[in-house]
Amino acid sequence: MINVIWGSAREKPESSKSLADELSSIDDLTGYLYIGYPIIGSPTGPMKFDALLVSDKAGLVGFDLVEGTDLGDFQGRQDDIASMLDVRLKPHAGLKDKRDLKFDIQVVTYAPAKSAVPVVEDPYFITNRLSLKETIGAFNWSCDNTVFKNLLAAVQVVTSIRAGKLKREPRRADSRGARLKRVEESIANLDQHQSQAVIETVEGVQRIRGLAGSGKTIVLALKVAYLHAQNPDWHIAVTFNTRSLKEQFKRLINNFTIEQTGTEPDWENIDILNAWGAPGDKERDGIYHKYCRTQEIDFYDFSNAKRSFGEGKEFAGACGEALKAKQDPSPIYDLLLVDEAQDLPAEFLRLCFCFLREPKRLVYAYDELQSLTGSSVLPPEELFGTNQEGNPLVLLNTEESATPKQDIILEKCYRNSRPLLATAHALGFGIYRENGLVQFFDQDNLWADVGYVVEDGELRGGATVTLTRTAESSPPFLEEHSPLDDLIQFHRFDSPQEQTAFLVKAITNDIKEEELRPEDIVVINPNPLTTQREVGPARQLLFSESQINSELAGVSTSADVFTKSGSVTFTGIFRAKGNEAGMVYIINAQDAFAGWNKSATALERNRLFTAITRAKAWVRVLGVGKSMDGLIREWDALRKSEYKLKFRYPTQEEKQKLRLINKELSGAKRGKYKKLEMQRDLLIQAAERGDIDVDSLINDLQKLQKPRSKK
Amino acid sequence: MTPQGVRQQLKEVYSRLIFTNLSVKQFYPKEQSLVGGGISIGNLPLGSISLRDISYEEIYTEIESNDGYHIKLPDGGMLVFQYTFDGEGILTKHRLCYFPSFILPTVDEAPHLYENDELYGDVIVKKLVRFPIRFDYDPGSHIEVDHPQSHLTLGQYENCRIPVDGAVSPNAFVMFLLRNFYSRSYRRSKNKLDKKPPHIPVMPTITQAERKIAHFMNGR
Repeated sequence: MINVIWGSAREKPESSKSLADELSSIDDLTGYLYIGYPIIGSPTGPMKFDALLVSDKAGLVGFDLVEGTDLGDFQGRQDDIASMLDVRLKPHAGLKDKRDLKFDIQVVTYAPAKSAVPVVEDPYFITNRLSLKETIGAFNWSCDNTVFKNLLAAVQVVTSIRAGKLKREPRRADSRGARLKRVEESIANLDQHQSQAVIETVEGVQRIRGLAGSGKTIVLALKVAYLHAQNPDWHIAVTFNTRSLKEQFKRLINNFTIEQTGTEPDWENIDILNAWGAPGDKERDGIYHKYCRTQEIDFYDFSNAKRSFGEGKEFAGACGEALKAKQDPSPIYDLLLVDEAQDLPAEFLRLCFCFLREPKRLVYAYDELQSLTGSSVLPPEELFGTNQEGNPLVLLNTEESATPKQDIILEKCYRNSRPLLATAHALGFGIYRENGLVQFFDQDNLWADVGYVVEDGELRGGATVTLTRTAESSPPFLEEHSPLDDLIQFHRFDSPQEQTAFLVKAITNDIKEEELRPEDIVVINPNPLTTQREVGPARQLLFSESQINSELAGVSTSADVFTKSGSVTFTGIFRAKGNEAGMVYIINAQDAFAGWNKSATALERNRLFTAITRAKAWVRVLGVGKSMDGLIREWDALRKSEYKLKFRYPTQEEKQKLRLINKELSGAKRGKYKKLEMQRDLLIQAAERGDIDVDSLINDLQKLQKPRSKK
Repeated sequence: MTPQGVRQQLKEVYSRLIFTNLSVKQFYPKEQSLVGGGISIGNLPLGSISLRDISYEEIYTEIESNDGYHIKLPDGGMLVFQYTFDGEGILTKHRLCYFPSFILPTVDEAPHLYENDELYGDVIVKKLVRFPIRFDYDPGSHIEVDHPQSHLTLGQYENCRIPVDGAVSPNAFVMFLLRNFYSRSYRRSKNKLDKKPPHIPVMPTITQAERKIAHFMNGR
């Protein structure tokens, strides 16, 4: 069976489908069939391939698809296909013998609608539905398996653009700077899964999930470039939460489009917009604002939304109102891509859905565990709601079949090493927490999706299980550069002053001795409310005593990964997202040990998780006081079990409870909730004392229950 | 005013603004020796772009993206400190500028955005009109009343030269801005900011005629 990767085939849907069906039905044919891929820039403009077969049986076959019955100048087209493939493949290593490719490039014109095709001579081929199998069967792969692997890799390289190279000239081979350089160089181009995720094009909703550092943003940017090249007339928008992603997307899309098509993207048809946005110029625009403007409905700004919907519900409320305000919105986009969907409310995704023309091509990417606001993304059936008949508007087809993949998981993490990720997960879930888990995956298969395998035991409620990461999901080069004890360290201090002194000394050492550049270092304070206060002293000491410049990430500083400012970045947790650095210092981690209740603890631990997963190489977790001891105990337990997660798997009932914890509200509601809890305690005490008649109270409460149960 | 005095005070001003996180990003003013033994403090890559005949949006973006400032405040406002001394150590010129962001709301308009790191805090409709502020000192171009030696220019108005009684020190400039345009931040860090900085005596350069029109007095 061949593996079909469905790109955009809008221009030739019937012949594409027929080709995929026919080739899939050949039992002993193996390899990959790409539909609508690749696109290669040529002097006369971008050249779009209809289909390409890479098979270890039939070799490399380009297809020229004919949708109707008019063959046209098929010879000219076949010549173009062959020569462009030649140009594209020759630069790759291991494919050449002196100046020529080691293998033949075959090109076939496939016209399924034609009942009879003319006879042509080598090297030209024309087939219809009947003769396709025979023609393909006559081709063979003449080289060995190594060459085939090289060929496959060369075809799968969607881009050869590497992430912006930073100048780094370490003098000592074993300094951190030198080691970081080696790690960065090892992070090669996109892997096969990422490339497939880029190409697979769904005429509908597509979901992409993956851990931090699995390349979601790059996949989305490439998707825009690829689909824009394929469908220049589409009106495309990319949207996200973090301001700093804007520049990143712009640069990536621009570079990728130039690489693929040889021309700059048509920015008239591509919008890179924040999720919210405000009136003013194009730079300030956002999806929600644009929706309000185009549908002519009321726009809420932040303070208005806060007043109307309450703290923490500003955006959800504003989007909800917008959805209600217009029953029959007029869509303007052909394709919408949403990054960081875990931080955006469901109402926003619904709004995006309404903003799309049929067939509602919406791609949304998120990280299950990166949610900082405590609400993870609902399954699509619930997320997008139901139609009038009560059927879900969106149902993902998760089966492997001859259709484009709607549900994609990027399980390989290229940023964090195995010990770092295991630490982040263990602390994030509270695997080794004395008082039990604080949150958990709803679905058992998510463990496999994020790259864990069951080493011992099983994923069954009440059973003891040992989960570990594999070399497949966590590439070894990410951890082999340094001793295990150096990758991640926890430090406990008696006072904030001690913590600051340590931090300043360590950063100074990193820069002056270890040849790290200031921009390789990020200091994260997980609590957004205290960042201003907490980081000032350290920044000042660095400035006046070590002459090390620093910046505070905020609305006015771009948190771009490609920063060249020569300063250490200090940041709160929100601005840290989407950012990465070689060395990450996390200060005041003690808060994560225990919040005021389980729900708050879960929130704090999500923040710690996010902070740890910013690190490309090393993490230092610093904290003050007794709570930090507690956190270190948890980490010690993990370390003793060699960074494997060994724990009693929760039962359905326990999972249900954990889910409730996470649904509880945070933020402003917290105060109200706490007050109610106190009043309830008072009431119970009063009942115990006999000040209140218990039976009448129960009666009253039962009355409240009735209307709800009827619903 | 001496090079040493300016140096010391700049250092203290930087230290305070970083400690209070009012400076989110900063470049320390560079010193350069001039022909004839003079010294310039705070030369920047984009010399006099702010005077060219282009829109304020362009000026701001250009300065911002080329790191052509010395201190950036949380709301994107940028400060520039430039002082020039001759061989005798006498101040011959200064230029102190404030360029507010034309996109972001001020700290006073949207405090939560800056203090609580609220993600959407910048989405506000009502906005104040913002304008650049510049203190120039240039005795070489003095024209009685029309071009006072030390003067204040508001909003890039070509002929706006409000007389100032003498050259302005780094601290006086920063405190003038913070008190008036960042009052919330100023009040929060009053203890730190109100401390006496290394002293720089004010040398009056204002003339009798200039005293007769509306003018600014440096604090003592």
